[in-house]
Amino acid sequence: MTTHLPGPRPLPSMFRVAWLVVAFSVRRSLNRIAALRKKPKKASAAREGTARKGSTGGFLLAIFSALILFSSVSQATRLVYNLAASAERRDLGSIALVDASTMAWIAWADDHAHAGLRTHERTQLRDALDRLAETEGLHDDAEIAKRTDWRLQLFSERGVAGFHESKLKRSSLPSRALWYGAADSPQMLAPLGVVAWLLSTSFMLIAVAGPNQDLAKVEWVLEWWFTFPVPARGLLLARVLETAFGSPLGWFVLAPFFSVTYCCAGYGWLGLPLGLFSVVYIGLLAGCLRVVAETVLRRWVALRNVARVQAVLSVVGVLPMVAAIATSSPEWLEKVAHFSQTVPFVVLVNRLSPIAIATGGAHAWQTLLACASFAAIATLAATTFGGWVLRDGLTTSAGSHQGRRGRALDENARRSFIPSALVRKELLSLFRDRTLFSQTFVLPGMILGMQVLMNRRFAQSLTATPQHAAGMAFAAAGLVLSTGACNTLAVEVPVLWIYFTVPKALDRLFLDKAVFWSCLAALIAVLVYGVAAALGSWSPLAGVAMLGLVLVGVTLNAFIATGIGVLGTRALETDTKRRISPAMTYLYLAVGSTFAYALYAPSAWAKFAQVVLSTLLAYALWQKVRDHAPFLLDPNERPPPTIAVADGIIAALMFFILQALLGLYFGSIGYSPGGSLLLAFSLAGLVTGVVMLFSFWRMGVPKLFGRLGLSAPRRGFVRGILTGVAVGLLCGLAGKGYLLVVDHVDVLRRLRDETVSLSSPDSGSIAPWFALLAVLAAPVFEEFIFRGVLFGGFRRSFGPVVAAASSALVFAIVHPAIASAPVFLLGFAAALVYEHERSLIVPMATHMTYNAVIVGLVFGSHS
Amino acid sequence: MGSSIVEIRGLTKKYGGFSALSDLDLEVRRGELFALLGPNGAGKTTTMRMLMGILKPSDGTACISDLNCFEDRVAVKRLVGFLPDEPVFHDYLRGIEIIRFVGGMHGLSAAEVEARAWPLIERIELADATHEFAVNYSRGMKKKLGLVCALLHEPQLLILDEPTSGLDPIATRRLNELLLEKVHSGMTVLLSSHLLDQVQKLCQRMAIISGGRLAAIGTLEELRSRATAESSLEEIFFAVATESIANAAVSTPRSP
Repeated sequence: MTTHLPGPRPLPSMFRVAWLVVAFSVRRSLNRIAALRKKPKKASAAREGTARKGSTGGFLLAIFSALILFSSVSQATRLVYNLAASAERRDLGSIALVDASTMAWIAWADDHAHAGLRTHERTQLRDALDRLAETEGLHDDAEIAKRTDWRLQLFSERGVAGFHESKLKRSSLPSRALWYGAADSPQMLAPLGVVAWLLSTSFMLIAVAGPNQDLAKVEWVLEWWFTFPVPARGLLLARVLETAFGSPLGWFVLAPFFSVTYCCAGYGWLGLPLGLFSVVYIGLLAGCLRVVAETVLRRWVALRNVARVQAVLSVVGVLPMVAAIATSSPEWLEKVAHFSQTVPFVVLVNRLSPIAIATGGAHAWQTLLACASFAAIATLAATTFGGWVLRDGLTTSAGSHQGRRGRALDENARRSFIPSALVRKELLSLFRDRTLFSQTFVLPGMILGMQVLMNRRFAQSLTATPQHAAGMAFAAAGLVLSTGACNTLAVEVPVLWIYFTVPKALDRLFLDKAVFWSCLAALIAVLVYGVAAALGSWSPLAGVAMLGLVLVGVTLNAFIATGIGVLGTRALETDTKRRISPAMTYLYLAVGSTFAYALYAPSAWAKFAQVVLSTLLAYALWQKVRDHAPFLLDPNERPPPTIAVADGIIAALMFFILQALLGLYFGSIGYSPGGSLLLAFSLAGLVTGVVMLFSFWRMGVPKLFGRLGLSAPRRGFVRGILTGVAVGLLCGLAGKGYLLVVDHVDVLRRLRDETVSLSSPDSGSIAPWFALLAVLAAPVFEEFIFRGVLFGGFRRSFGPVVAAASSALVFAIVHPAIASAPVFLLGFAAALVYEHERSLIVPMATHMTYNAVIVGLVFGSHS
Repeated sequence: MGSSIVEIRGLTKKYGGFSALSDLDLEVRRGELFALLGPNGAGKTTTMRMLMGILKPSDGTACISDLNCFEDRVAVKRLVGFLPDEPVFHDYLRGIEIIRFVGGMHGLSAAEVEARAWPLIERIELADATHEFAVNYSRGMKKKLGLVCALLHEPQLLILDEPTSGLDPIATRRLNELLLEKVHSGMTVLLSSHLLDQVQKLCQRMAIISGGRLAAIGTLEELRSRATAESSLEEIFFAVATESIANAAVSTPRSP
């Protein structure tokens, strides 16, 4: 019997294949978002994908995305305005350009000049010109004075005729008023064309080097799709589309730049879709480049050289981006504008360059059509060529790095001077992985090097003072940590199982890695600082002290970066690109850079306070790492809910920020300063307390009220309160002794007087309010935060004395420096009585008594 | 054979509303070669991952040498060697470098690592590839490398998840001989496998898990009571597993 087999089905077209792949990726993304729900709406026997523990990464990503978008729009708007102002200045020649308010001042001064300007009139004019210089982007006092002197000289020579009111209206939002001249003005378009070229070049190079962890290795998903009976061109087309639409660089950097440019050129809101068109166009070209590069490199280049190419591109690709972003510096912008005049206009602005859309009219339509056609042709050509290259297979060999087969002659390990197996492994991986090495060491060096080359003032300032050199060294180390330490866990996820088989706690292993990165980053910092110090002229002692501070900051930042990296990595994520959210790197950069304040703070106390705060942050992160580490590979389980040091930090931050905002609000609606102070303090404390209680309750912290000390004292209310009062009196006595010492020690007395004068110009009227705050409000809310939450968090990891000292130290540094010593003693004593009685009533009594004594002493001495 | 080295009581693992493992009671005696059998998705790997402290039990306890596998996981690691089903190794590291790294992480000196590693490497015939990057190893070679890493610190208990999958017949025989040798010298081995004829020859006791529950446990003779007197392990497995699946279908209401 003959069996008739059905004929072969027709192959899906390349467009159908591309559509299927794109839809597949979109489905996956939607499932991932859905799986982030903490609790499923209904229990079911079937698992919905892999259970995901709730992640704050999505929330942080949304915040940072909004911030980056806003920053990009602001920067692009500023760029357009600065270019316009520069073009306007050039056209006016020797006439000085000023804004409307400064012009009014100059006209007024000109009216009075015939009688001779009086001193105060000269001062007013100078102040107006100083303000104008500041709005022009100058911040250095010497530079501001220089520009103002030039304008005053011009005024004395030519009067009001030497000035012209600018037609441009400074604005934080893009508008036509920021554009100078016609829409097709070469003075505007040429430098914008240079910036567009820089951004597009960077986008394309990063598109080739960036997406794949190892360019030489074919991704498993591509290898899987390659086994289907579909045309390779369809898979490659999907690749092109993925690059065009899936790159954050395109949406967060290029799109704002182009949209703002078109909006300012006269398109208004139409600038937005035109900007998106430009991004898609450049994205398609980048995708084509990526497809061609991947297929050609894997097919015809030795895979170890492919890895080298990737390493180079990953570094070189960032540099044009840095150059484009650096146009926020007026000096660099002038250089870019000058350079743009030397390049033939047609190179920068032509029918295939989307910036030409800004010219408007028929040229714009021609550009749109030409770009769309070119993108289509390029995509077709790239996918066809790629398909032809792949006719013999996806790749030629297994891996990008080949070792040696056969018996080893020397079978014994050479003695290593590095005792730690983990450090040895880290060093081997770091120096063999060229991409990681380049991104960790070469890229920060090149970024900072470019800053030095592009900004002459910046270069000079590095050797002028130890602070600037320290800042540069700290920044260099910070960049190293953002790549290395932040990715500590992300790079280890596939091999995490090994760490679960060794007799060492996982958090200790991460700690070892933090120490490793700390040492590496410190070496970089010392190198940078050493070079600056060799060229600088400051005293060796000041230099050593500043270097010491940098090393402290680098060490703390290493722990902060590693902690954020571990907490922000999704160990169960199979897609390597999604394992760590870019928001974590931004979070580290934002948080870690706060230490720079310590380098520039004028007083030793401010430096010390910053060191303490950074240490607190690092410790809080590591407490969380210790809690979460055992559950990294468990899709469901989390550490038991508890109160941590991080909760204390959140409570304190919330309290201070709310207090400041509410104080401003109440002041603005007419409350007296004293009333605003008390109301803001109390309301902030109340809201903080309620929010923290609610969130702990939601988390399911067991025995919540007991843990927070919201229970009766162990020995009863009466004895507890009496104990609190007694300890408060003792602390008050110590405080009185301290006040006597302050009166007799010059430096302390000066510090006290300075603190009192800064705190309120009208301290007499707020005194009663301050007394109420100090005696009633502050003890209640501050004890909840610093003893109930923060001390409780420390107590999980330390004994009572160390925990008390730690919470007291934080308590002390949030108070004025002059009060830190007695406040530390108060905090320490309050924590110990809280530990003894396990009720917040007691330290509240201590705090109230102490404050009452001190307030009484201070006000008594003034009256 | 002496007392138990592994004691599992009421071990349960839930993922949301789904139970991967329910109420498992199990003991593995010291010095025995014990097999964990079951259909795909039965809960074998979940059990092993809980023994290694990778997953936290939703309920019940798992102890190795009276140490809780999750709470005392660091101490447990000193006693246990583990080989997962699909071992993955670091990029940019050679086989021998990974072995030295693992040895160092177990607190072995460089000399100890060299003294212990090379006989193992020779025994499982990995010597020709030790200086190759592990990322270029075949699946079987990765298994061998993982096995060396698991045996390096001479553990009391060896937990192997599908140890022979990906190994050629010669390597499989070598591995079986090695395991028997280790068991005779006092090591306990707990392994999972789908190769029932090998398990039948190798293991003294075995447990069959199906649908997250223990379906049967005992020696081959004891398990034969669930089928016929002369049944092979494969026949026993089918009998037990299908019975367990049928019971599970009866007890789980169909969704509309």
